[in-house]
Amino acid sequence: MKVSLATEMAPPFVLVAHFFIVGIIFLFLSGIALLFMSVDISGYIISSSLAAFSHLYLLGFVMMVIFGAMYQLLPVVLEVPIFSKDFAYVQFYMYVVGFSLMVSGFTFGELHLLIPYGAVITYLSMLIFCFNVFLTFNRLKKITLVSKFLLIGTIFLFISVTLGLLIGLSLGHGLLTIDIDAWVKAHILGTLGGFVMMIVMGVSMVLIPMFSLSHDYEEKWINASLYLHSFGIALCMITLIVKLPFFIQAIAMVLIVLGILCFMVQITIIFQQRARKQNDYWVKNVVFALICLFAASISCIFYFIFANSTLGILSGVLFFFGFLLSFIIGHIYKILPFLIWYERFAPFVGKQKVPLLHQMIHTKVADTQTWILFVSVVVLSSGVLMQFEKLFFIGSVLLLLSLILVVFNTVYVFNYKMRENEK
Amino acid sequence: MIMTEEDIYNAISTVIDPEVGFDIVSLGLIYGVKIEDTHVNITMTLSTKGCPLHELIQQWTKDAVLKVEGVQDCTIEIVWEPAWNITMASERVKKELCG
Repeated sequence: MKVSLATEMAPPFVLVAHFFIVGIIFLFLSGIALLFMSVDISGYIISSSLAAFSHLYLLGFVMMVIFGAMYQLLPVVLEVPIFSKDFAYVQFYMYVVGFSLMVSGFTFGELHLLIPYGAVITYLSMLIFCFNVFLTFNRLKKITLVSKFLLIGTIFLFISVTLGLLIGLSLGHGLLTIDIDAWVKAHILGTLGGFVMMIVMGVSMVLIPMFSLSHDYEEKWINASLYLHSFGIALCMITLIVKLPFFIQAIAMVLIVLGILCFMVQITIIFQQRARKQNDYWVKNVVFALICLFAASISCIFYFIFANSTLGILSGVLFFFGFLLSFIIGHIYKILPFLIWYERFAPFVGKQKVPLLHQMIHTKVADTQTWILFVSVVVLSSGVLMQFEKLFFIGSVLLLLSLILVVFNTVYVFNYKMRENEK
Repeated sequence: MIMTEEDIYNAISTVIDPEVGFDIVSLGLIYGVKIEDTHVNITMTLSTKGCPLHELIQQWTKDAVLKVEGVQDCTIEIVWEPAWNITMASERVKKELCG
C-alpha cells in the first residue's frame, strides 16, 4: 500500500513555534498571577484575580499550545493541507492582541474598559481558527478516529466562545436576560471539557504511541470515550442553559466521567504495549497527569453530590495543574526541541553532526522541574482541602519556581542551537 | 563498480532517527533493497504514521543511497503493511530501548 507523504502539506514549523513560545511566556505570567489567588480558595467566586489568572492560563497558555499543536498535527493526521496558513498567522496576531487587551482589563482595574474590545478581537480570532479547521475538514475524504476528536472539539470551541461573547455582551450591554452563573458554567465546561479535553484525547492517540513506540493495541476504549465524553459534555451544557431537571445533569456527569475513565484505560493499555521502557520526564509527566485527571474526576463527582465548593476548587487545581500542566509540559519537552531542530539542524543532516532531540533539553533541569511541579500540585491541593491560604501560597511559589525552570529549558533549547552554530 | 545490497544497507545505516537515537536499519524500518543496474529501490516503513519527520527521513535515506558509488537513481516506497513493531529491530536496539 503506497501512501502519500502528509508532511509535504504541513505548515511551516515556525508558525507552530510562534504559538508554543508565546504560550510559554503567558504560562510564566499566569504563574505570577497565581501568587495573588490565595484569597480565592475559600469558594467559587468570579473575582478579577480569578478571571485574570484563569484567562492567562487557559487562553494564554493551554489554548495557545493547543492551537499550535493543531496546526502541526492536522495536516499529518488528516493528510490534507491546512485550508489557509495566512489565516493561521492572522489568527495568531489577533489572538495575542485581543487576549492581551482582555487580560490587561482583568488585571488592572483602570483598564477594565479594554475587556469587551479584547474579548471581541479574541472571539474573532477563534472564529478564524474554527473556520480554518472546518474548511480543512471539508477537504477530507475519510474521517478517522483522531480526526473525529479534533472536529468535535473544534465544534465545542465554536459554541463555547459564542456563549462567552453572549455572556460578555449581556453583562456589559444587557443584550440577553440570562442566568449568568449557569451560562458561565456551560462556557467553562464547553471550553475545558469540550474543546481542551477532546483535543487532548485526540492528540494523545497520535503522540503517546509515537513517543512510546507502542503498537498492536485495540482502540475500543478510546472509541467509547469519544461518544461518552462528547455526548456527556453536550448534554450537560444543554442542561445548564435550558435548565433541565438535575437528574439529567447527573446522567451527563456520569457520561463525562465514564468517557474520561475510558480514555485513561486506553492510555494505560498503550503504555503497557510500549517498546520504549525508559521512564524519562515525559513518561513521568504523562503518568502524573493521568493520576491527577482521575483524582480531579473523583473530586468533581463529590462536588456535585455534596455541593461542596472546596471540592470543586480541588478538582480545578488537579485538572489545571496536575493534569493539563503536566501533560502539556511533558509534551513541550518533546515538541519544542523538534521545532527548533527542524528549522536549524535538519538541513545539515548527512553534512555535519547534528544533535539528537533529547540532547537539546537540559535533562537535570527538566527532571527537577518535573518533581517540583508534582510537589507544588500536592501542596496546592492540600492548601485547598485544608482551606489554608499560606499553604496554597507556598504551592503557588513552588509552581512558579517550576515554571521558571520550564522557561530556562526553553531558552536552553534556543541557546543549544546557537552554540552549535558557532562551532 | 557494481554496488551490493550490503553497500546500500551500510549507507542507509548512517540515517539516524533524531527522536529515538538509532539508525533506521537497526530499528528495522528497511523492508527491502532491490538493485536494478544503477537504480536502487528501497521499501521501508516508519515507526508511526503521524511522524512529522516522515518526509525528511525519506529524503535522508535517498541522499544516503545516492552517495554510494555506482548509484544513479533511487526510489523510496513507504509502506504500512506489515506495520512496524519492536520485534523488527536489532537485538542491540531492543536491549537499549526495553532495558
